Amino acid sequence: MLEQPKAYTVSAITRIIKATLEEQFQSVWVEGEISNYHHHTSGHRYLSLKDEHAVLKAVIWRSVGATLKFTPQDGQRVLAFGDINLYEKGGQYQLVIRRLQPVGIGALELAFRQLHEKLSAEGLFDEARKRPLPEYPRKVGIVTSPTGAAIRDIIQISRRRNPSVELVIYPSAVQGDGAEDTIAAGLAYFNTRDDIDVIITGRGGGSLEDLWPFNTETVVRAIVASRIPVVSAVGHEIDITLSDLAADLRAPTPSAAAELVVWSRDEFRRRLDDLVYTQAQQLSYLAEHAREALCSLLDRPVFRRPADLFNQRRQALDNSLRLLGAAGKNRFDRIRNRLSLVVSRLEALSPMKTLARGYSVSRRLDDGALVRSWKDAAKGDRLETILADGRLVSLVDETSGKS
Amino acid sequence: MTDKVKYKSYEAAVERLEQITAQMESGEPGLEEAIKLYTEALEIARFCDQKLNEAEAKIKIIMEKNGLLQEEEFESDRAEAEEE
Repeated sequence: MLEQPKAYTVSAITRIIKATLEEQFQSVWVEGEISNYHHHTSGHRYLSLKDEHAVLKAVIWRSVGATLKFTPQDGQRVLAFGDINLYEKGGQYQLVIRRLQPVGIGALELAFRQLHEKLSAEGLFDEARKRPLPEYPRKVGIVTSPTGAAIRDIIQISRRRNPSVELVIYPSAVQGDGAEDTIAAGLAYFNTRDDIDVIITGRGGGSLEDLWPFNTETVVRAIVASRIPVVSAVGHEIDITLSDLAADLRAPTPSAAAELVVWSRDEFRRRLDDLVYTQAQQLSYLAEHAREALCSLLDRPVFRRPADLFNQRRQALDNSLRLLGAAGKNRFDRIRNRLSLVVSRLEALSPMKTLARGYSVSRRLDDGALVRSWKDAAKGDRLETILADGRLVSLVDETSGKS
Repeated sequence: MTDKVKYKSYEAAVERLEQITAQMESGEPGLEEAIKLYTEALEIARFCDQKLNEAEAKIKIIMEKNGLLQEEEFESDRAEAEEE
């Protein structure tokens, strides 16, 4: 009978393998392609790294996963940094990833693309969402670092353009972990007030890493949720962040944001002046027009030289009188006789003369109505009759007439 | 004469001034009406100008005090001092 060879227990050999493996493969970089990526409900992520000939199982614990900027996807080429770990109960080894970065493209760049794709699918960057800025805001809310270059630039330009515009600063972090939450809090805070006309958020230039808070979903969603129009001003002109895309207006720099938001007091005054000047001109045109109309009326002789007119008439009269004189006394008497004839005829038309010729006038005594027709009086009416030299009152006994 | 409450925003003031200008340019209002409109325009312009001349608006910073967010005056030189 063969002597039984000395054997390890499974546990013992596994322990040795584990110790050897884990010691040998601590803090290693592995390059490969992701496959079978699965984000478990526990928060842990399970995946495999593979190349043409082999597969290595890997895991990203939840705490590490939270620091990932981008979302791993099957087919992505990645560089993973971590430790080989042997799981005794399963008899399997795996790479416990501590850091993960894409190959051929920066992690942040990849993250930017991924988040951009996701949020634009939701329509958060749509042009149609963008609102116009108020033309003449009185209070501007600013979410940025109170000690950064951005706020200094904004204040300087704002003061120069219009010191009557009030600036209210919400101090936030603009870089580092958690900065996105303070920015979002600032945007939310201004939206609780009803006196803020427009909000500027941003920061000065920096690395892509520095600008990162403005590429987070948290800040993008806070901008989208803002009732008040938001101007995003992050970094230099060439830097474009997701905040820029979500904002109602993207300013290339914080200084430019101040130029765009804070209206120039001088320009405004010029605008008022222009309007009032146009009106004044229009008014003087209207006045001139009215004056001309009046003048053409006054230009008529009757208004222009009333004395002339009078003089003309008087001259005519003088002429007539002279002619009269020249015609001699005889002719003058004839004219005078004719005149007295006319006067006596006129006198004959006076009612008293008519009465003198024997006519009379009667009126009803009770209401004084003139009796012109037999119908104007009835039996029993009392009539007053006026004669040239007195009056009579009589009682109507009978009336009759034509029809 | 002019209802100043109507012009609490500069936008409203400018809008009214533009309206008046358009009205006057249309030549529709008579001289008397035009004088009335022009008087109103002058008053609006003067009102805006006065507003603009009021003391410089302060710069404020939001600070937390006893759990409440409050406005405080911001010393803008602070930003300069701590600039890197």
